[in-house]
Amino acid sequence: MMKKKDLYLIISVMLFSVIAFFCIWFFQKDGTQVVITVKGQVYETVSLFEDREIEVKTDQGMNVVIIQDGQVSMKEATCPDQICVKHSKITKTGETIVCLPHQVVVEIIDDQQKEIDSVA
Amino acid sequence: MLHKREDKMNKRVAFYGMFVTLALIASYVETLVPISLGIPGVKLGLANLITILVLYCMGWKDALFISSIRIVLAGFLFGNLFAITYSFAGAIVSFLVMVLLKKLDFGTVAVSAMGGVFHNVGQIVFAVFLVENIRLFYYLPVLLISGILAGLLIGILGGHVMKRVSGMF
Repeated sequence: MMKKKDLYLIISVMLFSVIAFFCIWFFQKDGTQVVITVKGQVYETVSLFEDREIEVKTDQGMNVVIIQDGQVSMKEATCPDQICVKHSKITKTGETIVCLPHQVVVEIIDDQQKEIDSVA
Repeated sequence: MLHKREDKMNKRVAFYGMFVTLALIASYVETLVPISLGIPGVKLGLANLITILVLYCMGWKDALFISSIRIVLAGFLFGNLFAITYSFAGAIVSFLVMVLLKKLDFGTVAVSAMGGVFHNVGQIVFAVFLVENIRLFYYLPVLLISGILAGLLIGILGGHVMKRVSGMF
């Protein structure tokens, strides 16, 4: 049923994905800062270790980001799909929570990345 | 002669109705069984079973038509306007790749697996452009893997279904 070239294609893409996954997993660190961006523009940058709630007001609606015990999640949002609210808590660098309808991205970085960002 | 053409047309209309319905049911069943890993975009893509079936048994134009109708209807019934645009972003890329691979004579399993992968690629690229943040590619590897696995499953299932219904066309 499955031809040889089918198998080769599937295995090569699978291999690529697994390698990429482990690369990202390997270079991932514990984060220190939380960056909230709206439409690519930085809305607020806060420490990951300070418990607080942040209201993000955009043209499309509102999101409430909650930081607690070094974990970040989306408490509530006025978006129609609620995908951001269902997203698991994030703690590591590179992890993001995205609210596509509101174009809001919550991401975690460490101090090193912060310096790079401020230079750029 | 005219009769024959009319017959063919009627057959096609009937098939369209049936497949759009089946695809809609597949979309609905999928909303009932949410696979939640905490990462958006991880899903089975049950409706792609119908797309693959139509792609192999009827043709790419028919598959494109049925797929588009299904996305719009499922979007309004079970989602929202935003879900429709998001769904189309994945579906268009996925569809192009599947048609291309089929032209290159790949089988249903590979076509379906790559369809799953490129559905997720399409969606993530769309998301990156929308929020203007390249960091979203962080989730790409997970979505690639989940896309392959879901696509494999649907492809194997599709192969079995096709064996049984191919006499119909």
